[in-house]
Amino acid sequence: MFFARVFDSNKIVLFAILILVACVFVTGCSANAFRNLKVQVGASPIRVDGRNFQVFTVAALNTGEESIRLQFSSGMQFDFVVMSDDAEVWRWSYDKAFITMLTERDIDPDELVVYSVVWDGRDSEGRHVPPGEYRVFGEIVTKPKVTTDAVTFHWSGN
Amino acid sequence: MQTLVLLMTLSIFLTGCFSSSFGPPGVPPVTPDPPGTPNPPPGQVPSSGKILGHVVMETLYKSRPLSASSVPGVVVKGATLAKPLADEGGPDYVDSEILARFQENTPQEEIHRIVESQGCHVKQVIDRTDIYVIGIPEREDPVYVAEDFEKNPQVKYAQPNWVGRVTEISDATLTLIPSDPDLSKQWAIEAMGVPYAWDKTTGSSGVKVAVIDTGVQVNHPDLAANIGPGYDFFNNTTYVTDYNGHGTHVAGIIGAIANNGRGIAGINWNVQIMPLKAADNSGQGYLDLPAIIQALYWAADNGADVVNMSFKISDSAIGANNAMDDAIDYAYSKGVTMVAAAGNDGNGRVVYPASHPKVIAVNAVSSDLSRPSWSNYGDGVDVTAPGDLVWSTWPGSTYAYASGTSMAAPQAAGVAALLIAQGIRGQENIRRILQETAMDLGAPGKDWTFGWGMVNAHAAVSGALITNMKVFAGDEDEISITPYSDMVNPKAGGFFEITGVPKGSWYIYGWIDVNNNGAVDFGDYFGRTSGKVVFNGGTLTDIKLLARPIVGSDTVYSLKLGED
Repeated sequence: MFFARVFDSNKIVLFAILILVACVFVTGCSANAFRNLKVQVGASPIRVDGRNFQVFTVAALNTGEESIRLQFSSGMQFDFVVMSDDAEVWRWSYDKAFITMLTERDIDPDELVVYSVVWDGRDSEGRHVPPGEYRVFGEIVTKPKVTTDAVTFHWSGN
Repeated sequence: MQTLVLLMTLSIFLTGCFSSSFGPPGVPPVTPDPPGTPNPPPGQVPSSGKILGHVVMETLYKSRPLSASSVPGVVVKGATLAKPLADEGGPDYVDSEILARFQENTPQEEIHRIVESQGCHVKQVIDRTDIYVIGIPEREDPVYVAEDFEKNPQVKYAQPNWVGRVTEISDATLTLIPSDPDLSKQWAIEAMGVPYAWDKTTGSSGVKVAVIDTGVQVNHPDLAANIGPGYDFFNNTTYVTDYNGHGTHVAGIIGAIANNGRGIAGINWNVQIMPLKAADNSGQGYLDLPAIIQALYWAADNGADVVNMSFKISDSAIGANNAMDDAIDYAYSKGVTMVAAAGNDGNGRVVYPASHPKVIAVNAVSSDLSRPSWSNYGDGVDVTAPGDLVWSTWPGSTYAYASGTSMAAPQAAGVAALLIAQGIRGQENIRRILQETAMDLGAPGKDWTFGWGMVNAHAAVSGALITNMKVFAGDEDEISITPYSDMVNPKAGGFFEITGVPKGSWYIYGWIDVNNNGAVDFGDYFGRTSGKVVFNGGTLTDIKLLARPIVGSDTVYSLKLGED
């Protein structure tokens, strides 16, 4: 009887609750789309001809048993961001354009996909940054975007 | 189902000079006015109010074409001011014959009996019609002879053979159907009415379209002949090898060789693609901004008429693109028409450089004429164009489907190139033509989803701007349409306000006399409300009107017309 009365008198509230549940469900599904995709960023120094560089890598491993399809809205599949404290110092995509064609990439079970770029120690305006501790994180620009945790690295300067 | 049968006759009558109002209010004529009968002077016909509405110009995509069996090929009386009637001083009709049409199923013998009973004889039956040209005795007045004929119930109508200025449509030719076998996969071509545009122009090798992109497979057999000089601004070489495929796809949309029995047809059968590579050789989908800027300057300095930019510049760089802004300004100052993709983020913000005011921004539409969820939208969109599952050239001398506003922008760029091939100049002029000929989708007028609507190549190259449409209230008999209101032009976006509308029941007409011959015929855009609108004065609103192109290859006089 109680539920019947609630049903009769609170249809609107019930409907709203159903919508909310549906939204949570959908969001959850979306978030779960890449639950088997483990991503990690790495930063490795390399010295060539007396100059320092930093190689950044995003590695994405499919730990599940089914293929994962990454869909991209443009030619931009990944990005890297270097931070100094909380300030953004450099972003790989800063001086780039991307084709506006939809693209896809499938990652098979146990497949490791790697995106790498090289940083020469300049900020987005082209100025050399001082030596010190910096952090870098990577993004796989699919929907929803997959962002790695940041790792700290030491920049020796040039 | 309402059936309306309209006839187009060999002759075209125009009984008066152009006036903004015609005929007595509320009493549509059932027969043409006698020759020489002046129209009421403007201002003497009492007008009672106005009718407001919206007209959409459609392509024939997903709609029943107004083919030769259904064209309302009638004359709009007094609609044309520019062209004179028959020679001054001469008769307004052929003095030795009349035209007549008989009730259906009237036997030939009966027709001849009726004709001969009037002392006349059958001279001919107009080809593909059941209109009889009837010779009458000398010194008989065709007007009175026709009246006598119409007294016979077997005669559907009869009329003098009015002397007209137009007996055939010089520019209504067969639609060019290229031999490219993949044409059926190119839904974009049909959606934008491109085959009908090809009746006007198939482009020109003198028109240069720069494709700033990932490169182009310049020796692709469906592209090679339309590829001009280019450059790789990233690797500093004249080799523009496309390791991604995107640039080759874009180039094919604009100018794949047509009618060569291979692959696809580009929007331009003849054009000079200027491949300007701004990518490295990794095959990734990103371009180098400095290379793009160099390419844009190079295009402007080397005679590019159109530049296609199917890319977005990273969000993080927006606001810091002074160098790119400068390049756009430079190219604009050189008369270059720039077209760019609105972006695929599925949000309401047009990406840069499409968002630049000197660039024509194009978002994407699907084959069902809806906006794909991934296509950006917003106030910055100028027009939309097919961008979903577009079939075009691909490296390896192959073909591929691709989706994105990247595929939409070159559709608009291709049509811009067709316009330039016709001698049209000026970026803003081209932008305005694209906007005012677009097939309005979504909310009436410009909207956030589709901008001004989908690019309509046929209307664009025909100069069929919606602002040139004549919209009016009127009525029709089997031969003619008589306007009873002012003829007004819609505003951009298709909104119209017909003034001088008398009380009565009227059809609302929209008509672009593309060939300017005073007749609703092939090549024109024409639409009419499906039924009559009862107007009791004051202001009537929300009238919806669709205008579609009349296409085909026949001459006007041979048409038999009907509409279900």
